[in-house]
Amino acid sequence: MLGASFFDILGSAAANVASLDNLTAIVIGVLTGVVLGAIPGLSGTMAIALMIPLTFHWTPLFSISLLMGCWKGSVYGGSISGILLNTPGTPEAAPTALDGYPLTLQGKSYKALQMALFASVAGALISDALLFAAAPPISLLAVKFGPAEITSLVLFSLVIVAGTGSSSVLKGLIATCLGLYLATVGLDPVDSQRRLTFGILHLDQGIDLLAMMIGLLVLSEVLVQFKEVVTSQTPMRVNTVSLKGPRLTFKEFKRCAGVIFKSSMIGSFCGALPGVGSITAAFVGYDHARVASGHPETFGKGELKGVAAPEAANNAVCGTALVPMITLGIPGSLSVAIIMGAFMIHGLAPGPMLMVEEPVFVYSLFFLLVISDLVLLLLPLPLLPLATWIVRLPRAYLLPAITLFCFFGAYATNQSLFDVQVMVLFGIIGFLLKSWGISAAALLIAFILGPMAETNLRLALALSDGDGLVFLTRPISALFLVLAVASLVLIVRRHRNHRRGEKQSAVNLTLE
Amino acid sequence: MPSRSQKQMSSDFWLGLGIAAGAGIGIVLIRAQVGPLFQARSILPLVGAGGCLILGLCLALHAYSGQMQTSKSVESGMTSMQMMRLTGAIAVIILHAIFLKYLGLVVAGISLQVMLLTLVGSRNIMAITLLPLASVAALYFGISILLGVPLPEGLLWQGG
Repeated sequence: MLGASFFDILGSAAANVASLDNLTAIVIGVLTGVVLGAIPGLSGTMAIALMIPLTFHWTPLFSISLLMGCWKGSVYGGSISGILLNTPGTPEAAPTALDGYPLTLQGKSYKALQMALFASVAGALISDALLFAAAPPISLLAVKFGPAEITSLVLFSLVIVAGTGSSSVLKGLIATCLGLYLATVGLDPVDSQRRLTFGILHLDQGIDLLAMMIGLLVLSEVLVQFKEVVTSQTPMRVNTVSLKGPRLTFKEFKRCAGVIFKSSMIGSFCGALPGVGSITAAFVGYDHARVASGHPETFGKGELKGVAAPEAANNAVCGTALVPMITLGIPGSLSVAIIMGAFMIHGLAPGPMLMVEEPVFVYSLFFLLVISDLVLLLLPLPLLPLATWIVRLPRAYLLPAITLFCFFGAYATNQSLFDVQVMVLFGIIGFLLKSWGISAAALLIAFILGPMAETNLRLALALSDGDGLVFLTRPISALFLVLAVASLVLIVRRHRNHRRGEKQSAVNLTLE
Repeated sequence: MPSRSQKQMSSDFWLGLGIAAGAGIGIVLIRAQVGPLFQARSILPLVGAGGCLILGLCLALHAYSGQMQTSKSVESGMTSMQMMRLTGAIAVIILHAIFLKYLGLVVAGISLQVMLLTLVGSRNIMAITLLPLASVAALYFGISILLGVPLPEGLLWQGG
């Protein structure tokens, strides 16, 4: 009976995804993602955040298809400019450029782009398979979590997120606390009393997530890029790129197959861990391939494995990064936080109950991830000339148009000019945070998790008659708290070692 | 002349103090806008503001004790003209957020882009003219007309 209903769900999900509308959305998403990801300075997160306002008037599945396609496309797109220009379009494509650009200099740019694409698709497919296998059992376990467990889990996630992205742990924690504070603006989730609204009616529903996201992630980045362009010596430089050289042979791909598989596993593992993300995965994948190759000296000089490993690893993050979001309602990375924001805007609440209440939607999501990979395999190569034309454009010409799109994006969802002002405010805040080395991602994730943390914290305290020890006496909750403390200690030690290393290299440099 | 690391230390010191001061104001606001500090609905705002206060002070202390000397520098190294162009761009964006209500997205969008292109250093008249027109046209026809997503129209053009 259970098996039959499972196959019914799978059948319905496949039928949902196979509609022409969704396939069109995936194709448009992948295409947009590849093109935007290829533009240096425009990351995948920016691309997704800019696309969300467009999706507001469409069905949830169509919208999520578009966003997933865009995400997958942007992760690969970053490698295009990395390989052709030695300027990675996205941060996770940085290790790809280490060997990709030397291949371009050797006249093998097309071969490198093909290898990056095939490795990306292989990594993404392996990761999707792991998501498909892991999400249902974790969801079943998570359904049993009570308010105390969820509060401790959120705390654990916040600690991990605070430890990444900022220039120091203290700054990461400050961003997290600021996010929690901002999350309390609006009506109290329990007794519906106004909090920190200053009598502004627009704030009753809280700070608009999309306006905040566009401001913090996109407008702030536009300002950062603007600063780079005005300080650059050649702001209007037109990049010269060429697509030429031999094609990838099956023998060459076969030689890299082992590296692709191992890097995919590394990427999948990194994706499932909150706060680790695709940048770390790409570097770990590259380094592992270099060390395991037996010929590390060939890396950095145009080794195909050096292109395959980081691309497989960073794309393998996409599938498993969705595991904590779908099963626990916890976004482990910035991209997933934005996708989670899109879920929430469309009235879907990611978390263990999503699997129970909307199983067809969740399995549709799995299918559309796989279809996105297949579209990614077929679409980019014929469109590479378009992508290379776009990466030639000077950044200075794109920034004003992106700013205009930010204005539109903030306005479109609620048709509220107040949201536009909120977006601009957070754009400036995000720019200042980046200048000070404070992670906007930690702030955003804390803002998203804030209501969940507050509701469960107050519920846990109410159920235990105000006894704070409830978080320690329940074993799973206590485990998450121990993990939170241990993670904090590890993160502090890692930052300290990193600083010590920097200090040592500065001393060595001075001595030299 | 102060070294790069000294500048960073000083910057973090003032940043920490600034955050702590801001968090102090945040706690006062909780008292005024939420209610007594130690009640259920003040818990999370208090955790947020209190956390910022303590961590801000820790950051200032940490910087003061010179332990953050090797963290990455945030010094901009901008000339006064470059700084003026950046400030100008931020001012233009703020002004457009205010006047969008009156001008509408089409007119405001074109003027915003023309100003930003000028500030970014473009001297190509064709680019300054055509790029704003093309992007606004794409937004208007592609999104407003084709997808039916409304754009702000502007009170000035409605006789209001």
